[in-house]
Amino acid sequence: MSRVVAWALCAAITVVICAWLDRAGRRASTDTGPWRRALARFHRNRAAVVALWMVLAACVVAALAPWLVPYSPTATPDIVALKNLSPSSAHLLGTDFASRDVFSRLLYGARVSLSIAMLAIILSATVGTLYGAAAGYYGGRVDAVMMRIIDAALSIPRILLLITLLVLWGTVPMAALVLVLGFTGWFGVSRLVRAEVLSLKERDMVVAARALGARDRDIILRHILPNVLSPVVVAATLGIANVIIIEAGLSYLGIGVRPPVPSWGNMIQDGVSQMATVWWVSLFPGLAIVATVMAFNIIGDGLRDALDPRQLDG
Amino acid sequence: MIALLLRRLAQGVVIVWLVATLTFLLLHAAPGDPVSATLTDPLTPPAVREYWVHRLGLDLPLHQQYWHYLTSVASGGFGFSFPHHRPVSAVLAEALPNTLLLMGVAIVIAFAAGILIGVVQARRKGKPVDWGLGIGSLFFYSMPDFWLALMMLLVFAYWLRLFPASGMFDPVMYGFMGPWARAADRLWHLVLPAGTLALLVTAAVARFQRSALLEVAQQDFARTARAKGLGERAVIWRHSLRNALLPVITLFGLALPALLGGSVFVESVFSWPGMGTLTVNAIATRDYQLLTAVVIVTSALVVTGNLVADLLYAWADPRVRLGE
Amino acid sequence: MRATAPVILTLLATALAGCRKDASAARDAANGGTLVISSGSDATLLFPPLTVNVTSAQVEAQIFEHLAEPGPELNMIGDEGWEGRLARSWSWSPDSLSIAFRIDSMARWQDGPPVRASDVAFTYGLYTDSLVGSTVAPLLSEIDSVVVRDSLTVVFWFSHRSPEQFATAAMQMRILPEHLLSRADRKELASSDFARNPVGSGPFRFVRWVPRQLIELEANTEYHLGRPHLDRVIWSIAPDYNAAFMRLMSGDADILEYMRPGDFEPLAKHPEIKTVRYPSLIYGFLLFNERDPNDRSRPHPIFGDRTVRRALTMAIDRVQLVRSVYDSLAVPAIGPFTEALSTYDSTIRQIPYAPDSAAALLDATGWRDADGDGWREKNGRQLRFTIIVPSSSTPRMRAAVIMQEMFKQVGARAEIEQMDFPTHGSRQEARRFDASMNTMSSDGVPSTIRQLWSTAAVKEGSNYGSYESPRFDALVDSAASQMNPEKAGAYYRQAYQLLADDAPAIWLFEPLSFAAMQQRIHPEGMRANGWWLNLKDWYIPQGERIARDRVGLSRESPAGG
Repeated sequence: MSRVVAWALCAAITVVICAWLDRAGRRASTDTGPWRRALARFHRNRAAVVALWMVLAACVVAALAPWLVPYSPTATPDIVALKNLSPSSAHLLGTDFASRDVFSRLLYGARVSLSIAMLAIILSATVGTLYGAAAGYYGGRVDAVMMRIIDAALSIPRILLLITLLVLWGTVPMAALVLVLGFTGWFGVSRLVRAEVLSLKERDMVVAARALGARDRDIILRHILPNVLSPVVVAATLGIANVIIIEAGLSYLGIGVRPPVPSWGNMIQDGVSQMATVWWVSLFPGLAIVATVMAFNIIGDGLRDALDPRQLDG
Repeated sequence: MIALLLRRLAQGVVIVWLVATLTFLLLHAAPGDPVSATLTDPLTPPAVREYWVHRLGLDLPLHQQYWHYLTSVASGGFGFSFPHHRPVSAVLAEALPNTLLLMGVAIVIAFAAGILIGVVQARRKGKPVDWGLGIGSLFFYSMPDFWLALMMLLVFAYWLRLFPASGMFDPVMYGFMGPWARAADRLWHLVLPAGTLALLVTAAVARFQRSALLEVAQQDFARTARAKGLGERAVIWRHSLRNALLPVITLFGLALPALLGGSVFVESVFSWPGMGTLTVNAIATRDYQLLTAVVIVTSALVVTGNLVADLLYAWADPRVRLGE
Repeated sequence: MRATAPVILTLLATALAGCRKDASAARDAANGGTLVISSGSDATLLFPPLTVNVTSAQVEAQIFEHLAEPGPELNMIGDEGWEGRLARSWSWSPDSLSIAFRIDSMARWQDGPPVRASDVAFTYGLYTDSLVGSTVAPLLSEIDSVVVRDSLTVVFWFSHRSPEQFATAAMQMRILPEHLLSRADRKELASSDFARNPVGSGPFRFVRWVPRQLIELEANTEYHLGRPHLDRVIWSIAPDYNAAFMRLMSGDADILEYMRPGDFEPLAKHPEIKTVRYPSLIYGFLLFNERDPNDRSRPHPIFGDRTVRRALTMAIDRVQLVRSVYDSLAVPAIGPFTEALSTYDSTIRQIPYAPDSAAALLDATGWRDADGDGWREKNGRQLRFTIIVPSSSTPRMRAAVIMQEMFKQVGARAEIEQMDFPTHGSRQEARRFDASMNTMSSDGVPSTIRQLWSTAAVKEGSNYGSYESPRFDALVDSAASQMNPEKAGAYYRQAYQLLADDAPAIWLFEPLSFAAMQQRIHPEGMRANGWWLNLKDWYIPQGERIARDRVGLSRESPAGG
């Protein structure tokens, strides 16, 4: 009974947030100001809006997962009689090798996969922005050295770097996984920000601020960073999609999220050895990844179109 | 031009050296060593382990190991792989061509198909074709590489039995085939792994190409051409495409690391004997020498790829000169 | 102990079809055929003294020979049941301090020269040369010297009598050709040309090795014990299990040496593929560390207590666990051995599955759930420990997950720490773990148990859990020095019972080994110490051959190679 209430609540929260966003978008279309107009443009992109709804719904479900799931995601009620059951009304998406409910694990998996991806991306966006801003702002030799390091880091495929790091240190708690994912994802962002900063710092307001003797830190924080925000937001949204895929790959290789905690990646791994017969164990998490990643990509594209400064005046 | 080229080359060498140093430090900071990873039998006496540790120089101070390592990298030797019992260079020499073959085929297919799809989409912007192809490429673009590989394996090798699941050629009959049959056999074995990799990259190229074309179409010369009364088709093919190829060249440079990373999963799912499976093995056996060599060679490949992309860019766009 | 022979014979029964004599007559006419083995890993090298990899061992077993091989009972005490290979016969000195082997005068190296006694002496010198760094050398320590008596007779001298001395002399070394190796640089043998193009005296000769793709062997038509039935054996390498499995199902490969639980169902749809069970020496267990990993001078706060270990063993329903992880592909293990070991004893008393008694025992030892959070505590410490598991092994991972849940039922909080295989190994070696999911493959020699569980192996050896019991040490010592198999068996039985009672580990499963193969393949003599050891006797009946069986030997068909 309480589960029904939770699902209703979940739907209600999603609808409220979506409606609120919808109203904001509608109202923004009559507003002026670059951010408002970007919001209005985003609002007109139906695909992006639908994708945003999907992601919001997924986030709400993930957040409320403990109240929504019919079974505990790690409970193994009967490892012989209840294992590898195909989807039915009792187990919507079937059960896995240890008689665990795939549907419950999928919801918990959303929690794990989404939160890892978002935390990691916040970390990489922050580090990347600061590093790129510093390199671009100071320029010269500092910039050259900092960018060579970025070049070197970017010349190693990220997945290879991650595999190396994770395997070498063997056991990785979730926090460390987030750190590793975050600290291997900022190189691209920093390049982006640096380019933006290079062009910004010659602009009047920065030159003026410098002439007035403002401190470097204040100039970077007050004048430069707010202006590089939009490319970073776009990169971060697309980056979330990327991190979800990478986390899945790592968990698939057995070096990502540690069992019995479900993540979409290690759920696929759980089913891979019997994919031909017990297909539901790895099919559904795979579809969940594709749907979520698609949604993030559509939102990212939508944001890029909406925030593109060339369109600001067009 | 040559001086600039040389400068870029020197930068490349610095990058590779940085990568080599980084991986060396990482590998040695981590627990475990190649000897105990290979001699897994618990009954192996300590004396034998010590003997091999000594022979591989793992008991030397770190800076000496580093020095040995750098000199051997510089001489192209990369040291000795204990789990393979062979010089690392010999192991790499076998794996690299296989990966390059796989990637080469995938890149050619992906860029040809991707550019074509991008053009079709740009021409029919907003029409159902654009929409359908857009969804399709987004779908594959959003797919984890290992998952796509697994699905391809399941569908085409297991359910439909259309293509072989693994390997590069028929293990028995290949030796008894004529040259044409051999080529066909190799192609046959390439279909699934190269197809998987190509699908992933096609999606990225198509998305990139479409938006590049649309952006170019907004620019002045396209407007001028249109104003001159040229048809939309001519505008796209004659004027926009050439300009829109520039970002694709950039993408070629950017796609290399992703492609090399993706081949780790694709190769290991299809048991393709290239650098990807080598990496997974090297990691499992703690093969310091081999792993550092793989990372260095990969980064060298990427650096070279970027250099090639720069050259192509300079060739395609006369406005751009190297180093500017 | 004798009772074990019928067990193994039953195991082999699936592989042995019909009457031997009739079958062999039909098979003589049936020379020919190609066997493609779907193999999970590539060989590292093909040089027996340095082999640590199973594919290498499989290939080498076809190219090189031992002096003799044990019979299907795997008797390691004395020479009962042993069959000659390179040695046609042997004789013991009256004091048992030396054994003279007579080399088969028909034996030839695959490049022509006859095999001599001097090859054997040379081989011994090579295995024991510290420059070579062979992992086998320490196992040869009881051999004092190897002396050539005449061109075909070689004498092994021993420093003392021991029950397993014959096995040591006959089976630890694969005999190598002196004429090809005498001038080789002993430090560089591993990377020598010979190690990649081996020449031996065995039933198959080396043809080619395409690294990480295939290894091809061909029948040695001059083999001194009669040419093998098969023309050609190919190891087709696919490191990914799914790919290897699909190779078999699509008919590209003929045999896959092991099956995972869950593979039987898809195979049921393939009538052209059969499964053949063969005996194995692998067993799995959860090892407890009886010493504190942070301070080895102290007992482990949880596992140092025998009662706690027994209680935790009672918490695990091994029958359920095995059925869940392996279906019918494993049976619960009852000790550090499997059915195929010659000293196996099915009557070892086990600690029963009894969660209630487990809870009561834990209560009695002071581990109680005082704060009602579901986990037990004692002196402010939670009953909480980490199980280290190598991520490469799906069954071990699954077993760990299920045990975690079973421990939870009695208030013990197990956490799983997954790591790659090498790290797992080095963590065990460094004794840095609470509990470890482990599998072990016995070498078929009963006295090996000493290296894993005796007090002497606590500090330096492989007794990673630091189990210490003077009584166990004494029992195994008595067993290992006993020349009479019956008496040795009785001592081993007591030692096994002690291990079961002291619970230094929870004995979990003994995976049954099944190979899946095409119906046309007729395997012979698959042994617990290697299903591949009698590949020379395998055959493919003429009427069932397919295209790749008919390509013939490369010398008959110039297109080959």
